[in-house]
Amino acid sequence: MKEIPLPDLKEIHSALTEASVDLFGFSVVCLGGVTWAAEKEVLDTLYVGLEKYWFTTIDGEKPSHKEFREEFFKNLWLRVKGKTINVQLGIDVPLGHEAMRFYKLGKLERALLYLRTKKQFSIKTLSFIFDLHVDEVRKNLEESRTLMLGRKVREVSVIEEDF
Amino acid sequence: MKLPSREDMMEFVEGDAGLNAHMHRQILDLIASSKVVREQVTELKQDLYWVDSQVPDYLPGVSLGLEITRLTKSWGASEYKRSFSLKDYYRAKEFTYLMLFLFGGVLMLFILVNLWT
Repeated sequence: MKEIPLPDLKEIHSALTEASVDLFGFSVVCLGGVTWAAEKEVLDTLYVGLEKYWFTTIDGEKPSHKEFREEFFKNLWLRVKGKTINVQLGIDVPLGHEAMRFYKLGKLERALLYLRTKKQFSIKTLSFIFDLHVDEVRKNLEESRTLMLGRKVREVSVIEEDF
Repeated sequence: MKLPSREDMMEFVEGDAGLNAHMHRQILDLIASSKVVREQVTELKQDLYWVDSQVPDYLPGVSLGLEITRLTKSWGASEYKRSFSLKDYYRAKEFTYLMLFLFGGVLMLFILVNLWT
């Protein structure tokens, strides 16, 4: 009798865990710091990833979400962008959360800044994830940084006289 | 020689992978040759670091780990069912392979008939 190969659940579990660690922070940031709400969105995204075969094996290694990483983030963004949660201090988020300047930014600005700083996504990738023009991405990032710093980010101006 | 734009300098400081190798090299040369540019890059890095340090990051808790175990099991079970279910067979990987095989066969037949006539 021929044995039917089934997906290795241990490997799939490992890939799902790795992907969840990658996606979780982004989900929390988009949902205003509420971790319980973020978990559900991450799980739904992972499920979509499984259904669409986004966990691939590269060079015979274990299955991973790396090849479709941008797709995962895009899918998660489409899920959370319209959601609003009435955040309760001390219950949904820790006390002191309201003092964080980062959460004073809009959802899109937070999401962009998070992916740019913590995940080191390129401007082009951000443009794909958020379906924005590269100039818009740059503009949003600049505005977010200005709000975070309380002033404009210092510039590097290269002029020929300096050389 | 075209000098790097403000965006190029920003992408360089941020370590953007999208910056092309030629521009990267050119900026490195500029930094090496000008004290003013070096100072400005340092100040820009300080600003970016200050912003980065205020961006929080989160790690999932144990509860998500448990949910992932549950998801793995349920997905494994559904994949197993799909392999044998006629109703869901169109969603299985094997069905895609079968379709590709049939398509290849028809294509070969078409080419052979054309060559024959």
